[in-house]
Amino acid sequence: MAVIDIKNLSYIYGPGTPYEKKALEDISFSVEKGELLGIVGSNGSGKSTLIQHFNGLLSPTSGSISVLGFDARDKKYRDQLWQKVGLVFQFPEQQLFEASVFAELAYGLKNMGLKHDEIEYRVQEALESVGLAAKQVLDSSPLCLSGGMRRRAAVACILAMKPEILVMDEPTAGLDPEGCAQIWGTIKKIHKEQGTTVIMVSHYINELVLLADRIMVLENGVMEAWGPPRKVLGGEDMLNIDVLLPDYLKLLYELKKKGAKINTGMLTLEEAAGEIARILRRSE
Amino acid sequence: MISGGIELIDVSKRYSAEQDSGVCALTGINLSIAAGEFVGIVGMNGSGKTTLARLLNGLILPTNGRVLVNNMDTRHRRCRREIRRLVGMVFQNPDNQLVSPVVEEEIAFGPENLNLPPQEVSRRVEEVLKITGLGEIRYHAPHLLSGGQKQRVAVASALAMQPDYLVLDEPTSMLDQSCRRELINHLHLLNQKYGITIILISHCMEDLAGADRLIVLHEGCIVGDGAPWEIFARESPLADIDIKPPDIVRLLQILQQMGFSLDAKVTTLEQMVNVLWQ
Repeated sequence: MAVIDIKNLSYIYGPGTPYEKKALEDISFSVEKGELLGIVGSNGSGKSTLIQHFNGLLSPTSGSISVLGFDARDKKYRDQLWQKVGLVFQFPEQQLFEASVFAELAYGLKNMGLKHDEIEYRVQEALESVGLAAKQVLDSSPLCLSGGMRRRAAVACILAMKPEILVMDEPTAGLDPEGCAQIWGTIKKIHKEQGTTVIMVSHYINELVLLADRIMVLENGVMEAWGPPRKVLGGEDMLNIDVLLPDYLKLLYELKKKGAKINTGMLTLEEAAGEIARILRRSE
Repeated sequence: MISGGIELIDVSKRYSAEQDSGVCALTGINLSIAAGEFVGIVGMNGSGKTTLARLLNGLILPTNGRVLVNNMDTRHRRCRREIRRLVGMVFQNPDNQLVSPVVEEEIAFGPENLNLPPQEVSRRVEEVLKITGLGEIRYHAPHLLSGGQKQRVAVASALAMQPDYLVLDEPTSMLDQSCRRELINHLHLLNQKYGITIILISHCMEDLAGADRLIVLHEGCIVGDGAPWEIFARESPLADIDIKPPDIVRLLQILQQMGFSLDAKVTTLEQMVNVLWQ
């Protein structure tokens, strides 16, 4: 069952002004329930613009978008979409504003009209799922936490609302390797245990290809590739946009461009090494 | 003593007003960086990388020892102005160092503060715009640019001071893969074509794979100093420090374990392509 269905979506910033910019052009795809979709693209490719359509923050200039059966263009569904589609922005720790971690997490829940008991329970549960010890952090100010913990607290704010679709924009940007691993662990857990549909925007393609069921590659507002990671990497679609790839994949692409008969559909460094070994043996 | 270059002689830095207390960020550093080198600095958080960077142009002064830039001591107040012109700095977050509402004004800011005549300021702005390829966005507002563009504006502003040295403290950590590669290629161009000495601090080993020399800092001491391939190949310093060699080196190591004899000096993508596709 498709939870998001997008047809011929285009979005133009500031139409009719000197700053008019076409951010998305004729995008069509659908996201299945329980799927983990990865969106990849360089800065300015339209990733963030696209995901803001998923809960009606932006409305397409043309084309249609249906989310959980609602027409996301229609303003009367927005309240419902904002609760069902959890959007974690880039650097979400910058939007924390309450005096304590508890109040911060409870803010969204109060607005949903939940009772106090339920709120307390959900706050505990959400903190646990991002790996923060509730006892230690509940009463402290979010500003007293380390960068990585603050990021996790911000993610917990969204998780507490139990969204059916979780959308995250570069959740690991600016974190050290340990912080990244914790965020990835949380996402895996939410996706597996609760069956939440997850849409991840990231430029760390090496992490994404291992987890995602499908990936989408955006470049200058156009969808350049779409499908299971192995198929996208193995195909021809990324030959001209291989700047996004980690070095071990870029190496395979460089060799392919020089005429080597090499399979570029490799997900890990070890697989890539195996493929190069195969080519080397053959040429010996 | 050679006139060009940066020399650190027995440098220690302690962050505390009192003696015998506080954290020693750097201890007994002896280091010389020759003019024209491309030097990479690696180390974990708290290893003293940023402290080292800030010592280089006298933003902070050593507790013990001396820092000499082209033979001028950073402790001497009358040298400091010239030292700061000679050693340009670019920080992690470009938003922290961009001050003007328009790109070309941003680039002119430094030279204007040197009290240069307006003609010279505009000449430098034109020159720097040409070198950095930012001509197209000269009238844009820096805060509306992408992260990669902002970082290049920060580099451009430093270049307008006509520095001999450019010190970059994790300039790529907020950039995506393609912007990162672009910035690094750009630094190599500045180094090779214009002879500017580059001192690049980064967590990302891919950034440093093409450097002439890598310096490994650990708990305030230099524990490794050599060509990138030597540093990555030798297990000891990096293993303790939990720094993963770049993809290409790991790939090379796997292939070597499989029994292929490949050039052990390979550290960059370009070198690897050449080795595999002769």
